[in-house]
Amino acid sequence: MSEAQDRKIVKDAENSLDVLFERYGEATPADKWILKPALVKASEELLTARLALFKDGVLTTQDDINKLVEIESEIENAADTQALIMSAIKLAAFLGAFA
Amino acid sequence: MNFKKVVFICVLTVSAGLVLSGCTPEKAEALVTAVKSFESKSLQAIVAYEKLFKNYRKLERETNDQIFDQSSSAITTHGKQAVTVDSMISALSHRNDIQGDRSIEREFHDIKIVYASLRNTYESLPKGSILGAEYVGCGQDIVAKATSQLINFSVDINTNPLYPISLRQNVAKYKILVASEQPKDARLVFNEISTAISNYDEKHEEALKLTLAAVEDGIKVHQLLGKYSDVSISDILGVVQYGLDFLGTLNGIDVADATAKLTSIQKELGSKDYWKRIESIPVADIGNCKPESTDTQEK
Repeated sequence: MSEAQDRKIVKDAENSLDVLFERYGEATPADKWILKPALVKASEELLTARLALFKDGVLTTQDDINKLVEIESEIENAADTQALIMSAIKLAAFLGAFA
Repeated sequence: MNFKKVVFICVLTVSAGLVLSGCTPEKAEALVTAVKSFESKSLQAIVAYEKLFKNYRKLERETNDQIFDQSSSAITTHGKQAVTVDSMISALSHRNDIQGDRSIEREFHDIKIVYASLRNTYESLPKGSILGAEYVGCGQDIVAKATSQLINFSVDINTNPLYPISLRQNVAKYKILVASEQPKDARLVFNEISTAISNYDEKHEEALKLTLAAVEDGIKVHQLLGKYSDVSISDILGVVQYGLDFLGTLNGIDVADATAKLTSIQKELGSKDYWKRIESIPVADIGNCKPESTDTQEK
């Protein structure tokens, strides 16, 4: 997998985080409270992935790209807060694996 | 033969050996100065990247009023189990920020290991020892590794800039405010976004310029080390002076030119077997002077 594709993974992950922030901003105060830990975790793991890319170059596979596309779609189509939390946790776990 | 005579002969032999091997204490001192100058510039660039990462991870903090509103609503809507001591601490404590910064510092400590290797390699050189001179080849590899690392950092950050995650939060907030027709608040958030982008751009450009200064120095020091026995003290000091002059003109350098130059250096070095081999050696192993480190491949 090329460096360009490694970087695409990070870019797509950042875009997914943007969608999560929008959904967070639109949520009720009560839902914000329960959504926040997953959002913070996804942000922290994005940092982990960026650091790994910066230090060593992340070697992604086609499977990784497919997995991220799936998570992106789950985030965009999450029907409720619980589904959104689950997809944010999936994004965090996906990014955390690059550490 | 008395003791003084023995010492005199020994000193004479060692000195002759040093001159023949092109390694006088003065030349070694000049070389260490050049290496230290490279190290200092590199560390300035690395600290600039470390700051970018620390800013990248910082999220916008919510006010106590917002946290109270959210936690109390969560209890009312989702039940008492929605709020725990841990979730309250996460929301209100500043310790996470400090811990996050510490973890970035640890990562950058690993990055800086290459410079500790460089220092260890040259520690014996000012004494003018022949043993020290034997490490010139190893030092050349370490300088190459540090230079290549810096080039890769700059290309990585330039391809995917580290605009802070808090900026993403604010853009989301801005979109929601505009969509819900709150123009005054939207304007305030827009101003924050604009300031955050300018601040980042400034730091990003500074990191790139510092990197270019260090990389230019690294390539010159690397060349010096490659022909150490042939270069004169004034050649070495000329490199140090060039580095200082270059640093003085840093503000005037166009960032687009700096970026283009770094990318072209990466391409050029990436096409050479020697630099490919250096790239493949882990930072932690680069200080181990192996026989193949002093090879005569194209550098």
